[in-house]
Amino acid sequence: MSQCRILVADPLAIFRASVRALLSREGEFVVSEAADLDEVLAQAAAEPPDIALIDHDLPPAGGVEAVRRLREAVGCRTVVWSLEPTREGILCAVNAGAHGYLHKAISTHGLVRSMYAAAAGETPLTRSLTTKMIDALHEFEERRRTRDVAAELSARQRQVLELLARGARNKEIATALSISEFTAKRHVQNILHKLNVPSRRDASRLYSSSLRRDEPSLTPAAGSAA
Amino acid sequence: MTLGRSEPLVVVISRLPILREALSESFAGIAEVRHFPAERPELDGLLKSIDPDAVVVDGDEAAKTAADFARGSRVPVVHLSLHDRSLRVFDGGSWSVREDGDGSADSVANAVLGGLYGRRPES
Repeated sequence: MSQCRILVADPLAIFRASVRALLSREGEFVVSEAADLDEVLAQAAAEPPDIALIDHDLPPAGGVEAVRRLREAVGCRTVVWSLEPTREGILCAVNAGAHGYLHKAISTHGLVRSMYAAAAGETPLTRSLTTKMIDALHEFEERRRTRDVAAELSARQRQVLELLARGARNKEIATALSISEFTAKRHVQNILHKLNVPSRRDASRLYSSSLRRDEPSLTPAAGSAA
Repeated sequence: MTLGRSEPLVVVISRLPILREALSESFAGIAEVRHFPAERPELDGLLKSIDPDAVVVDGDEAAKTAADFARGSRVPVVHLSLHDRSLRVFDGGSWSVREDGDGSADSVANAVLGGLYGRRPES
């Protein structure tokens, strides 16, 4: 059986060396190392790996970018790992093409098993991280549905909603928009009805969590890899 | 080194098994290593009970606790920061960054050994 080529991409030498030592003992893996994206791409070009284990914070642009670039370059299976996995981080990695996600606090046996699983075409993803990913997907879908609903608001209603979210009362909304207080109140009622929420507080919360952000994206924010 | 010990005792405080294993290998034959998870409560009490010759940590909170312990006991503390990838040593009451710290297990071990034997008077 041919050996499986694994590329370990991590800015910290202790992680790279430790993974190399662990997997090399197994006898079925050939391990190479990379400390940043440039080295990853150079290694991949020289000797395409079967699997790449990539640190989520790989410099300079993050592990998700490395996953994307590797998928374009060689199409190998990628597993991302992190010291502090987040829902969004896991979802972004998977959306970029990662085939698994691990917590760096994984046991040494767990890491070896995960690499065997990845080599077998399976998805290394623990139950807790699967839960995070599913929660992130649900939240993403919720925001998308909310945006669809909010798209039905008129421009004026969106202005009112933004003021409402800042805590403005009807009188303050009316003053800000040069409308009557009665009109402001009607706008608020229509907004609550369209958003299907029972109160101003719920509308404000919805605005803050789902509508104030930029367009939904599964790509990480710029500079988040630091 | 504490009297009665054939090898120095190094305590490693980390929640990462893979890091603990790497450090154990680096200290093999040089020092006895004991690992404790970073989340362990009463870390200060633990260090006082064990009375190690050196401490290695990878978290900021553990670094603060270990430094407080080291002030009283004058043992070197090595902090491998996983977030900013720096290696620093607490010795003699203050932190200093190791410029030669490349984030490897060997550089951590070298920092510990420097703190242990570099302070000893010539025999």
